[in-house]
Amino acid sequence: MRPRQMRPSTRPEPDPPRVPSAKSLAGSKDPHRRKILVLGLRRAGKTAIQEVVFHGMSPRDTFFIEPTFRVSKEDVNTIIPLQLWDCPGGMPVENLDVLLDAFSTLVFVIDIQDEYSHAISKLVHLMAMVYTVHPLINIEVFVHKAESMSEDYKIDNFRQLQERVYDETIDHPLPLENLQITFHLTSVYDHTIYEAWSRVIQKLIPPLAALENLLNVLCSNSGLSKAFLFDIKTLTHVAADESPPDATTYGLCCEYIQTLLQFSNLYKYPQSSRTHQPLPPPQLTSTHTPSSSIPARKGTQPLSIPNSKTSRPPPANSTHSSAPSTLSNTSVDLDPADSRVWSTSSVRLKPQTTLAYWEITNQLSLVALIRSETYEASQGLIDYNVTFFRKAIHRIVDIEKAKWPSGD
Amino acid sequence: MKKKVLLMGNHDTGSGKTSMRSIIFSNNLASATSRFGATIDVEMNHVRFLGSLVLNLWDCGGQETFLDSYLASQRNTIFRDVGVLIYVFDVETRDFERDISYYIECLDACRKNSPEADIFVLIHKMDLVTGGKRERTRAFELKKRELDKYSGSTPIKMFGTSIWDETLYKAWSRIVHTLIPNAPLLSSHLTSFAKICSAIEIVLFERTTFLIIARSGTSTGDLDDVIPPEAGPDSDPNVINPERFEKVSQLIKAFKVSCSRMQEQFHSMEIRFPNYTAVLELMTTNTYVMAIVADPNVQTATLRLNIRLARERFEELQAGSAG
Repeated sequence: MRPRQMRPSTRPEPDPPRVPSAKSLAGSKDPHRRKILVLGLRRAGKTAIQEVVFHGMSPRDTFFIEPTFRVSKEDVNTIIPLQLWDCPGGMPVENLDVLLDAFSTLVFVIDIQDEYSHAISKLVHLMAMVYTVHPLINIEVFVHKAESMSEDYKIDNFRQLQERVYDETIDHPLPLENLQITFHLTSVYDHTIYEAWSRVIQKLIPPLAALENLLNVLCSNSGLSKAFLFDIKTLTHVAADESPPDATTYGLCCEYIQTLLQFSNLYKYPQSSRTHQPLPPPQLTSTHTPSSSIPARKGTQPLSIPNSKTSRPPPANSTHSSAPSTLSNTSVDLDPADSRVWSTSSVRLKPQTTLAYWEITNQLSLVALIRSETYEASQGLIDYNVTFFRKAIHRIVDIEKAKWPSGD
Repeated sequence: MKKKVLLMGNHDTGSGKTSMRSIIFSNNLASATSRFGATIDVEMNHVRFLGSLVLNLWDCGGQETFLDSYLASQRNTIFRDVGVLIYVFDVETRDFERDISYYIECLDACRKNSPEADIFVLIHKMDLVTGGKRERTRAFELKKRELDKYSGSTPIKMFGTSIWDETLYKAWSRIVHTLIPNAPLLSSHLTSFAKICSAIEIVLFERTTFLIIARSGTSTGDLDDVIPPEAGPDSDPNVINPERFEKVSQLIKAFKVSCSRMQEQFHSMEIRFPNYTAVLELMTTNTYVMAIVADPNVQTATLRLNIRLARERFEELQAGSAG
């Protein structure tokens, strides 16, 4: 496998695919924030969803949430700045003080337990309105409170509801089936709500392709079987590698992060005692001694783990031995990411999986599943590759941040 | 060694005795307990703890008809040879007077039949008290003062508990702690082990329940020894969270359940935070050890090596502990 240079650092950023036109944003105060409108019938669970995902409320406490009476706007900063508009149940969209085309996404929440024909007719009415003003909007339907039903029954209901909506759009005089509509089966009591929000937010992230590409490169070079880039504040994943996603894995990764976050508050010691570590990542000492005669070519080459099946030795320019010398190479730019101690963690499961965690930025973390034997054999190498991944992510985040107005 | 543990309390609606038992001993999540039906008569369970210690759990149904029969016809069977009596109150009870009258009778029956028994009172379902921590503490103190009047000469340990947070683990680890005879010895060994590892703290957990068995830094083996006084949130960065052990128990227990959904078993864990390093690893066949180190130069691999080397010694110690 030829070592490749991590691309996003050189690649120009693709233009955001669906920015609302400048004209429509003129009226709103935060034109750089992607706006998400949350709608639905009364007591569908709109506010509860946002409290749980964005404020960390315990799902059990959502029972006591008071009904929302006025539109509330809330700024959420994940990898991109968002603004959530929480609307009172049943409020006609005509009452909003901005036009519908100010929004990038429309989230419609339907309570799965309800007699949902009313909700569907409301949704279709909304789609018809949206179609005339902003046909490119993402419509995300959360079929919510799934925890109230048994596994089979909720899947049946979910399918039935989708068919009903589809039938109604076909019957509608406008070609509503051309709208982009996605259905999610959600519950605040498990990770499905985080998964749904991840999908919603991912559609709004301009450098998503770059992030996914980075994860793919990291996975193939480091022998990871699955990797997620998480936003730890909201527990949504901003990107994942291309391997097929699976709900249990994602759920476990969510819980892993939650566990770690709670763990981090248990012991408090002044951080000053553990600041700058002049040494290279300690795990590197397990690799061969550096041969200083071979200068590293560039400070930006991730190393690949030889595929265990073919057991082909890595090419000369990316041998283990060059790793430490690459790090000590003075040409590596000293960005703050190097001097900080980033949290890492790993959990060994039996029989074969290891869960690993790396803090990437203050807000983003990488969680990966690795075969335990791979992790144990090449932990240093994987850590080493992750430092490059971190640098690349920092660059992308900086580029994104540069687009925000100052003060954010 | 066998110990009889009585779980009692009177409630028509269910005070949560079976729920807490299943969370501690059967790896159930708190959210799964809502499905439980009422316990009819007495459910007996044998739970192996620390290998050779067997807890004989008598989960006594709380309806009044059952209680009446425990106190009358079954009195001798129920209250004989009791090692630990755990009496559970619902904090939101409707008829506290009646609860107390049953409590007095049970206490009396237990003291007459098993004078050696340790008695604990749990004020359960603290999560139902509205408000914050202060309101909960006040509600607990109120009940405690009331109950102390009836508890007689010997002081009884009381805990406010809820299945939704770490308080349940706190109460139960204090309870099982009384059953471990050589806890002070384990503690002193952990203290010297912590010195060897340059660790701030080393804690020993039971493997299946994740209840705390012993920790470093105490001379008497009492878990509550030398815990720094509770301060306001974030007032001093050096204050160690006094509830940390229970929190770890709760966190790891819940995480273990999540792991099992992947058809995998939790085995070990290591964490390097900017301000401390933690390694959680199997110590003996029945225990987990957690080492907390603040020195950034101590590598997790060294800690693991030390743990591996200490394993044999602790196996011996623990064999003595369960007698």
